[in-house]
Amino acid sequence: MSGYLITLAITVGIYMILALSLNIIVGYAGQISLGHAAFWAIGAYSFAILTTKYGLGFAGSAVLAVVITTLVGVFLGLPSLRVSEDFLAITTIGINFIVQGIFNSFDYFGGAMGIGGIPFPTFRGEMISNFAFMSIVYGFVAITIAISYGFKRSWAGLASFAIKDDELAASVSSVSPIRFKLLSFAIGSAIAGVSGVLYASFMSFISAADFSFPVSVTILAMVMVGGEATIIGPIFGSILLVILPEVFRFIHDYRMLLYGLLLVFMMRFQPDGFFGKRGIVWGIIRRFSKA
Amino acid sequence: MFFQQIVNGLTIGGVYALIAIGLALVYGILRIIHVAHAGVYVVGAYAGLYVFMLTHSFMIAALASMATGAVVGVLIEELVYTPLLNHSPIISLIASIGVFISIEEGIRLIFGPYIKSFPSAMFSGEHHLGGLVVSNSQAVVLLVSVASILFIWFMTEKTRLGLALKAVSEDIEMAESVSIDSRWMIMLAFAFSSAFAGLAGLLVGAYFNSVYPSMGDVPAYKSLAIIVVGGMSNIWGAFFAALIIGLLETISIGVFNVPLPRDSLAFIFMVVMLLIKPSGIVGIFKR
Repeated sequence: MSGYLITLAITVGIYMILALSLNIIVGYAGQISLGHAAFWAIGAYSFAILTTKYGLGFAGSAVLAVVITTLVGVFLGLPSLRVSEDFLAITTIGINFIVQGIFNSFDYFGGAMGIGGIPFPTFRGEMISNFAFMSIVYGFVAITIAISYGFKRSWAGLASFAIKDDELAASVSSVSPIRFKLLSFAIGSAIAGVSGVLYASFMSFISAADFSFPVSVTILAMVMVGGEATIIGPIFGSILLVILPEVFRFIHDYRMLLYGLLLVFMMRFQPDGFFGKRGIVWGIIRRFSKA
Repeated sequence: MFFQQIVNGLTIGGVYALIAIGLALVYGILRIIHVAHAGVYVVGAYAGLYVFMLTHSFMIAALASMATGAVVGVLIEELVYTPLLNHSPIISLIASIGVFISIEEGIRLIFGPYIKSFPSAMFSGEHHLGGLVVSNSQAVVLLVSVASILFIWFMTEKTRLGLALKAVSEDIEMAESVSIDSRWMIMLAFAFSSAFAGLAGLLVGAYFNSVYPSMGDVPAYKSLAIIVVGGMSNIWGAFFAALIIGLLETISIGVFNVPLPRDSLAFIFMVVMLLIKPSGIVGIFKR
């Protein structure tokens, strides 16, 4: 594999983890979150600060960064519990803008200059190869898939699906909406924190602009285009939306326009995504399996 | 200095109000977070700019930006929102963001990415009221937004059309059963609110004397914060919230030098508001 392909594969893997973690919040618990890049940013920034400012080791900072992201995720999830659906979407947009604004304007977080010199993982004193890093990333992708699968099958997953379908009916059957909404927020932001650590370590430089609101839209689009509440959907969506811009590099100017139109047409004609319940993929498979 | 900032804040707030009122109206009727509303605002600014270059008349430019805005708004409603009405709100929200990106990128590709300015500054000169300086452009922005808001208030509160709009926003099926044509009403509401978004685009373009493709980015999301503070579908709430946020921004940045970026202040205010009173500003006075 060439260096370019490995870099691309690492990027895809980092986005896969992100999309799967958002899928737990949006797809399983039905909480519309348009600020997922904020949690990604918190993971990346805590890792960057712990390693560059406080000189903590790689593994220690990584674990601490994930813990911090989880705590902040639960803390930010609390005001979101008071609001539902449309209000929640706008609140999470707000969270994204506030978090990005704070990282961008306080010198402690590097301000507009960002943070550089974030360490790459080492093995016996030597930096590991990009290929080894890619294996680590896909290791975490596998763990995330396992967690998604386990959550979907567990009692907590069932409870979340019940709340997503009908919150009132679920709470009457003594399923506490608050507990399971917070649980999904905690799991989702913890995994986003893992992705943030991997991103910061791979890029070695981060700035607030990397985690702006359009990034959140892209992550949500990965979930929705692939098909929410499925596991293959976010995986497929992140491959598609990372690879497409690379393939269409030669028409650089039209990239964003095509991206906007893709969102509109997907939602207009395939609102469940490619792998959703009424998605086009299952339709094709069904047609061929009958014939 | 302080009173000067109040004048500046009210001017900005008036423009926010023009955008946010339309957004609140649309949300009240279709329950859609209409992010592409800011796309209409950009289209209005460009239409106004080019018509002004041709005619050198503010009145004709204003009418042109309102007409273009209305057409674009109705097209978005007919082609994107109406077919998606039976799906969950998140789907029309993402479609709306897609429409917004496409409009901004389309404009960038057609008219170029650069800042365009009006051929002759539309309004020059300023008035001195005691120590206050009110530029002519500020006065026009203030007057036009106050006049438009009074007009919107008259339309929605004092006419049969407004009554029908209210009925549709309360309950579409009930409104249909008393023979209100709801599709026609939805179209009218979009035409109406988009016309004022287009006008707001022209006003902002003239006020800062610059029109550019990404000028809708900030209003797109700030107007969402405004309608949340105002209580989502409440038109008066949106109006007061817009003025308050306009004032809050200019005063906290201009007088107190708050170190936060200007555009996140509205959202911080929104989160505080949600924690105190989720039903919005108007909910504080009503019990």
